[in-house]
Amino acid sequence: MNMDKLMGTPTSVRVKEVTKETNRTVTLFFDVKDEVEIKPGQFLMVWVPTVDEIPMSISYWNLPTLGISVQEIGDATSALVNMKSGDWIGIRGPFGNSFALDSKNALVVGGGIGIAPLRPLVEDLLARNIEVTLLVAAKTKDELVLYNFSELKPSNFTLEIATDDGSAGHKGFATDATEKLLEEKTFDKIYTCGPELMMHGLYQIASKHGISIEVSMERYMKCGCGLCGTCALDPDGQLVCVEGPIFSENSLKSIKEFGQYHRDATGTKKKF
Amino acid sequence: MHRVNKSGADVIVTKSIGPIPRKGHPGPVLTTSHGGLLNAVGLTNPGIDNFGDEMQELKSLGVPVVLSIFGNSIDEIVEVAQKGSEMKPTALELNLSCPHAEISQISHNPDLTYKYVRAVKETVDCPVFAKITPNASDIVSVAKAAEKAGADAIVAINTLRGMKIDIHQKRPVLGNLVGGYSGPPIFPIAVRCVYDLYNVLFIPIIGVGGVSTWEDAIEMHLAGASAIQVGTAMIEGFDIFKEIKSGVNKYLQENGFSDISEIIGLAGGSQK
Repeated sequence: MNMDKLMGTPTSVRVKEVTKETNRTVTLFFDVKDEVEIKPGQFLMVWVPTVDEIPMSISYWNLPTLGISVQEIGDATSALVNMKSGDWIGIRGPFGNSFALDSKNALVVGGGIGIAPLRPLVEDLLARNIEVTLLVAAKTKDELVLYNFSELKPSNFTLEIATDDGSAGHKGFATDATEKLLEEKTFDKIYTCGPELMMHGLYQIASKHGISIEVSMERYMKCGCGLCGTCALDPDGQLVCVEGPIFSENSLKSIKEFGQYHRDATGTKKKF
Repeated sequence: MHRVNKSGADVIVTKSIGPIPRKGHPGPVLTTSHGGLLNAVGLTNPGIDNFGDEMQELKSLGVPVVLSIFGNSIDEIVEVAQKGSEMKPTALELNLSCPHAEISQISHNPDLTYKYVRAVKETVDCPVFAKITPNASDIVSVAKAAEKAGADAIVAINTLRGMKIDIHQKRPVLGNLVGGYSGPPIFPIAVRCVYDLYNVLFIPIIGVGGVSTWEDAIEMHLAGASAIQVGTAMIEGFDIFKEIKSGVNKYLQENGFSDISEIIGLAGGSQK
């Protein structure tokens, strides 16, 4: 039993560069020493010294450099957002499964900071000459995390934007924009990450249209490696950290808490 | 826990439940050192009042459930035991020894151990197990005190107090600084404790600590354990239970034993 490997080989690294994405969102870059293989959708456990350890999607890699995109939400994320180059963090991973690149004509929907794991996914899909429509959604124009997508010009790529308040792109929720897109185009698969109610809405749309879907689930997580049970999903105990975070329609239909409730830090059920 | 059940475990022991919801320690709550696992989860639990639903679900599986409980005072543990016993578990396991929480001191002291166990025994009708710590200077006296107080079995051992310091950041890794060490490296300590206890106790011993193979389970039985608990080894997956059971059965068959009871304590200890 190689405990170190099973735990994702805990390593300390220095932040190399910080890029501001929006007023509340940054991407932190750092170099890793070990040869790691990363697939789109996977995550790291990130130790924020003296604060906490939290799961973070990998939003960029070009080995040896990795990137995570952070939005200020709680103590750990606000500490991360304020980091400067040279600061230490600890990382373990990568953990979890990955998106299946089995689409021919994909709709990728990112809500808020949920865009983070979709960035490498979009790049991988484009590199395979798959038709990609990327819908980036946020509450307002200022909260859109767009990376360099507006500069991307490949012929197989279309960028769509939706904001709740209509300050950019489609006015309304990502689900409304998706319904509209489906009137004009056909997709064989939806990939999504963002607020669970948005993903649940997209799942219902996908089911109605007979489109395959993969969602990236988030649950309170402590170990990241299948031991503590904190992220177990009802009723079968599928673990978001091991069997997820990516779940397709076949798994989603048996996850009774999807879009309904989650468990907080104490394990108490909370409705969405 | 559904999955642990499906994977062949004969009994499920819950994580420890206390009087009120408890978030536990800040992360990191887990790290590794020398092939073992260090944890300072900090008794994360939803509180006994929120645990009825979960117990109901577990019991519907038909597998015996041991409810692990803790309390910071005799009044607290009695309250949790009272409420817990109404959920009709197969037994209550008293966590008297979590090395990284306030309750760590109870099972260092035979008198305190006696008082906690006695108080619970006077409150409930179901069997009561006392889980004790190897960090005590004299575990034999502690276990004897629990037996005298009416404990129906001793669970040995809890984790060992340990620590990991990150040499790059020059600070302890665990959010709680100190944690409990588990996994294969503590196995010989657990065997020694079980062996010592078998020589002095009348009540059964449940062996726990680093068991990760069927050979370990046999060794633990030979030392005097009537039953085995597995925790950390689940990091490699849930197949561990089936693997241990089939290995143990094969060993019994090949060595001419017809029942597991024939090898308990066979390594030379003599239970009174």
